[in-house]
Amino acid sequence: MMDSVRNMWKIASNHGGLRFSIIVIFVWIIIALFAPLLESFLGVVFSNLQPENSLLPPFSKSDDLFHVLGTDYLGRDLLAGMIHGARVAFIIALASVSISLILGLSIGLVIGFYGDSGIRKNLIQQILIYVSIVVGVYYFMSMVNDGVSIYNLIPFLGIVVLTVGLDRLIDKLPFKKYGVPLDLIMQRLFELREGLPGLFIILSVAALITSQSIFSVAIIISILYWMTFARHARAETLQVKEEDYIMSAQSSGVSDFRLLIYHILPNAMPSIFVIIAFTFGAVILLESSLSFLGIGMPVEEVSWGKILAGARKSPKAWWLAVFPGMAIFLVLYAFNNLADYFAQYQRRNDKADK
Amino acid sequence: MFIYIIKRLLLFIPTLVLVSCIAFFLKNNVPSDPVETLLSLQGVDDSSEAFIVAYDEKVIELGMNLPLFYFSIQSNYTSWLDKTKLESSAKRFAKELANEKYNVSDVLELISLIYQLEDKERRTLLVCQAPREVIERLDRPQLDRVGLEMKSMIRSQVGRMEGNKEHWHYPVLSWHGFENQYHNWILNFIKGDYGVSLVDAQPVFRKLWNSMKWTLMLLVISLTISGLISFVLGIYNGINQGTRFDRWSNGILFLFYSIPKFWLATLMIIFFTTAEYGNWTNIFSTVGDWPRMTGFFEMFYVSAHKLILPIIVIVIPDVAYLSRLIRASIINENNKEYIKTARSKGVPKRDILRKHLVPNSLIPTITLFAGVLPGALGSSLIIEVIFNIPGVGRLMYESIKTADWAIVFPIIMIVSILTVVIFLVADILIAWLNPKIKLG
Repeated sequence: MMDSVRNMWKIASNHGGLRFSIIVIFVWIIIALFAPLLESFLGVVFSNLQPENSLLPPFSKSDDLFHVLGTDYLGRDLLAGMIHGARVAFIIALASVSISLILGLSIGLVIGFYGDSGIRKNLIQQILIYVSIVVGVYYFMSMVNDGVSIYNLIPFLGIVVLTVGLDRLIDKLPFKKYGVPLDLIMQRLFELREGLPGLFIILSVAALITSQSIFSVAIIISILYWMTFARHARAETLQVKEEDYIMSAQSSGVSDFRLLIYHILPNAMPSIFVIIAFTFGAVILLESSLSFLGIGMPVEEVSWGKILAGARKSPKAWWLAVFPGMAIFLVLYAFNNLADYFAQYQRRNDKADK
Repeated sequence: MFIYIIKRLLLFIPTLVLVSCIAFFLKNNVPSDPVETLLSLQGVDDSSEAFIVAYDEKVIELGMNLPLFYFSIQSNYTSWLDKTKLESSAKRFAKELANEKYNVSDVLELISLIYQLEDKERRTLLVCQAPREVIERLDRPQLDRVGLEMKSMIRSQVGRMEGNKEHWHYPVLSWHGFENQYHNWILNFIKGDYGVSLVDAQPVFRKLWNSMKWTLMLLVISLTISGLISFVLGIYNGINQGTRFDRWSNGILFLFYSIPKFWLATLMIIFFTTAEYGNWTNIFSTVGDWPRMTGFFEMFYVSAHKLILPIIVIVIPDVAYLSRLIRASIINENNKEYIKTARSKGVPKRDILRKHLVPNSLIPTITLFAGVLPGALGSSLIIEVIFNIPGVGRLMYESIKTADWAIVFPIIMIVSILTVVIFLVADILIAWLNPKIKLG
């Protein structure tokens, strides 16, 4: 473990700015994780309003506090705001990247592996599955809207058990089987995503949601971003699937699940790392844009984008524009650089393989 | 070629249908009631007696009493509603009760009881949202003229309903045909009838078209400039790969690529439009209000100087992105065998560059260029908000802020159509330029 970390660090020194990027990301994560501790340690609080200390420049002292980065329009300490913003950005980025990663990776692997003809069902089975998906979604929505009760839980579980049981039963009947067009459906969905103006959709959905929180923002973002992961996971799976060792594993009776998790996934990971790093940057940019515009983010939550938006009202206070923007820029640069490095690394490996 | 274009156009339709479904779904989930907003714009007081009548008329006029989509999957306790022929106020009342899972025949019986009352009294009862509320309202002075017998009948009916609620439910698929809201909405959209704004009752189409001009102009100018700069820079750096200028400019461009546009814009505004930081710093004009003029060119003539700064802000990160891509493409092409052959047989450097290298390496960049445009639409939203440019982005932002949902969803539709068309044009262009790509 230590060896591989040291090895990575050594490789990093050959790539321009990569060490710097890793340090930036590391520091950002540390600040985000220990934000409350850090704030109390430094003796700064963002929440207390002191209108008499409005717009103090950096390195100035108010009655009892020393403001290293100055204060904003309401007299709140900027350093504390920056620390809090790091935490908000981290929570949103981590939440939406993990949701989209899990969702995208599993769907991408499955559609890449099975394609349009990997799962074969006869006509009765297919109709059964489609109908029970609709009915299942109906009872699930009823659970979400009216709360879980025996009147929707029992039918829901009943449908699931019934479908699985009937599917096994009908499978034995001698009917002609057709492929389930998983890939086709998902490809249409990805095409649709391509035509959607991401920021416009996110803005309007975020404004429509009544209970705004940073998690609702994360969920909206991941609804759009999981498809990027799914697309790349699918493409990688299609490539890896054709390799000889997968064929031989398959012919020696390894189960599909095992094949996907232990043989295909590890080989698809390098290119997924590029997307992870890239998406981290994109999500942070998106989150700060949203909070800069003041849409979707809860009012009480402080973020880098929101502090930066405050700078527009007071052009005299350059520190309000420079520091939060710098933070967004540094983290964004670090992740873009990391993504660039991963992409180069992978390209080199691919060439070496050939 | 012709068949290829037709094929792509046909593939383009399902995407648009799905986009319109998403926009329509979002439109029907807005928190405010558009009918109420429209009526208050027309000056109908929402507490007056006339309001309910006007509301019903407006609902029918807008076709909002129709089912939402071609088909629906509803619970058995609400699906019967679409088949009944009730007035819209009674229907609304029935829907409220049905959502509470009251029995169908009970609800209909209660409504028929209420319909035996006079107009005014009936309306007072039909705005209720629960049977309990009906009982409370029975004691109000407006209903004094209702006979005691009638009141007790309603009371006993409500009492019966409470004990007769349904619990088990199942989905029902019902087909509504073409008489539905989505169908009318999409037909009106194609005809260009987008309804009126919920804030100032202006036609949405005119508002959209006026702001579209600005956004398109901003995009065309900034993309032309950034395209030209990155073309020159990318090719120069690509053929001079590894020189000091290449390494430095590449590193700096990578930095610029990561700069958030809204940060750059804020910095520019703070440092270069005010005289806060020295006398020379207010070199650009401030972000003020734009003059209200009717003519586009007249307005452009007056406010063109305000576009300099936004264009700079858009161009810098775009150049950073595009020129790096063009450079990579040139390097990739430069290492190929045919270029080496041409060089070794003595073809002049200039000819290699002009006839082989540049045309061949620019074909793949067309897709990249098309990929910049949707992103540019998104980032122009923030730029327009910051610089107060009256474009689509700012219209969108302000409509969201003022809950003017009648504008938001047409904008989403238009912008997605634009995005899809751009990809379509890029694909066709590539197919046309590159004879190696097989069409069909």
